[in-house]
Amino acid sequence: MSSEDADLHAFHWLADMVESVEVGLVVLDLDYRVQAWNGFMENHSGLTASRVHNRNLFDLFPELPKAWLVRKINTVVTLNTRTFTSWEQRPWVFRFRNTRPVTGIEEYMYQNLTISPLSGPHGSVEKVCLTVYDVTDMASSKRALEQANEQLMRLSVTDRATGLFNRVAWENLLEAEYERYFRYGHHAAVALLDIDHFKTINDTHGHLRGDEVILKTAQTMRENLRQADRPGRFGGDEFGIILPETDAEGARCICDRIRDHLSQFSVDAPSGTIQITVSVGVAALTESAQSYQQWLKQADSALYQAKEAGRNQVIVHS
Amino acid sequence: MTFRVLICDDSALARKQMARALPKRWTPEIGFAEHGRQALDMLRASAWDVLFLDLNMPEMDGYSVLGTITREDLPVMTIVVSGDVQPQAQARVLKMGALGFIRKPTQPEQVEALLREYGILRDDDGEWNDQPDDLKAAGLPTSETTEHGVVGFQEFLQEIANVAMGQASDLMARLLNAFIKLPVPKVARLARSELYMAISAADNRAAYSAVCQGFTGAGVAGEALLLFTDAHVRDLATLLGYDQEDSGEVALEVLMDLSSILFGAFIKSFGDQLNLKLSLGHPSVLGQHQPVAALLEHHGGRQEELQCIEIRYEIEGHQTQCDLLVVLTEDSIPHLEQQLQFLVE
Repeated sequence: MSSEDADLHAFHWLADMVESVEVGLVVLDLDYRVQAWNGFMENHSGLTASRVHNRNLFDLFPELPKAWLVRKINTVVTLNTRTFTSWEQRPWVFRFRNTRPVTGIEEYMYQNLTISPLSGPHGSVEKVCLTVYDVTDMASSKRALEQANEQLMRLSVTDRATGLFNRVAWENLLEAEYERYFRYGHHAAVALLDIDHFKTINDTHGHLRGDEVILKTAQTMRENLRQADRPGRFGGDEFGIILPETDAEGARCICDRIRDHLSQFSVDAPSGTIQITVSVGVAALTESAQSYQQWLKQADSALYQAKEAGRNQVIVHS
Repeated sequence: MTFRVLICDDSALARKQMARALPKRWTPEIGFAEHGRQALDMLRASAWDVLFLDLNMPEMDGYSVLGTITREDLPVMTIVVSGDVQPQAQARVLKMGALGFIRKPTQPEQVEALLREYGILRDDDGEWNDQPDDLKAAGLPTSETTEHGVVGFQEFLQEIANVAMGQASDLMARLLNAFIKLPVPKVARLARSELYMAISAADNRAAYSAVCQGFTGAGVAGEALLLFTDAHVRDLATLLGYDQEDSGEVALEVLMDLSSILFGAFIKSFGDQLNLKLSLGHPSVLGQHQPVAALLEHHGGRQEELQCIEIRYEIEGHQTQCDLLVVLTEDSIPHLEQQLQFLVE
């Protein structure tokens, strides 16, 4: 084989490689006319290299983000440097349909793009090369992961039935509030709320009605609390509320409103009407609480007093 | 009378490179100053013919030296030698009285051409002789001829980074149409778990966004990171002209645009100086709106000593800045040390 033949062979291999590589390769002149268009681009766009040759890229693909792409290309040409764009900036540059009927969950192909300057024999930039990477798999798994994490985060802190914070999450918030108090000295109060005679409701009217009462209580709490207040379900029929920036009187007032609203409701059951009343114990945070557990215990003893004093009332720990 | 040349640079490597770049058969008396103040003291004490002056130095930078030379009318021809290749930097020093400007890394041909242009060097110059240039090396202060231990290596990296930083900032200046103030790069060895300390002036309360890009070649590998505070991203978006655009992802555009050119130019110049061809991966967003410590959190379980280079680019007149952090793997260090041997021998 002569050296000329060898060169020709090498050229064919190279051309084959460029043709069959699974990334998109496009060469543009400085007027954005297509000078090269490999197999990947042909297959995904449906346009052959001969059809696009020497035609303006933006005429061929009117949906391209022209101003954005022109700006990037100009930077590459003037500064003679490569530039990169990520699917996080724009999910796609060329709008190629996702071609996977079974495993494809995205509508379009997600793309990363590299724009490289191509210099002529005199060293000045004469053309640019766009390299288009299909990153659909990466993008969709990253998005799925983000969604799953978000959902997990939500699930791990919420009580499934009521949508309020669960006990673990709520106690963490309580501890944080306790620490904030000792650092910044802001007011804070905690309330424990218990549905009166809940066991009797369950026994007389059944668990379904009991659940309804729980939901009604949670809903009423939410409706009567402020943005910063943190309601949680503490256990069966017991609830807790963290009230930041609130003193004893303020907390009593808010809790009494919840108690009052609930007492106006009733749940109809075949076995008779159920009146909902609740007892509430409130404790404002003071130096006397050595730990958040002790603070909670103060609210619990106030709740006990409310029960003892005949239920359907709010008592503040003193 | 012997011709007297003073070389002022904070980097021992740069002083050495400058001394070597002088024409081989020319043997003037060579003096060295490690910072601007020292150079001025030497200029006041005795007469020097030529001063080769670096711009970015701690203590007193090259601009201040130029200003003082003019003010005190010190009789010396100053040639600025700098990695800061922004046209504005060049224009400024010429206006301040410098005779010429030489880009780092210093090329002997360029130095000779400049010396001839100003008639400092003539073919019939009596000071030409055929002595080999290791005589010049004998004139170097002893601190530089001692072993190239950790200190020598750090200094070497600092100077390489200094030149690469200049190349990168030139592109950034042209993109933003502004003048970039260059610092002295900071180099340090840090354990992987302490990486968050690499951004020395980080504001612990501010939210940062970062892009990273890996590079590798010939045994040298690492990652470049670009960090911005969110407030500075908004300023840069305005400078880049993104404020007119509708996109909600302006911050990402700014991150990607600036990191593309800074990483590209820095890594290319870094590789060129070491005779390495480094390939760059695709950049990715490390995170947005987080404290620095969270962005640079220690993820892997591996204990590794990393070589860090930190550069804070400040954009003059805009109170805007970003931090470029180049982190080299532990495995790269022996390869770099080898390159250092080639460069200084």
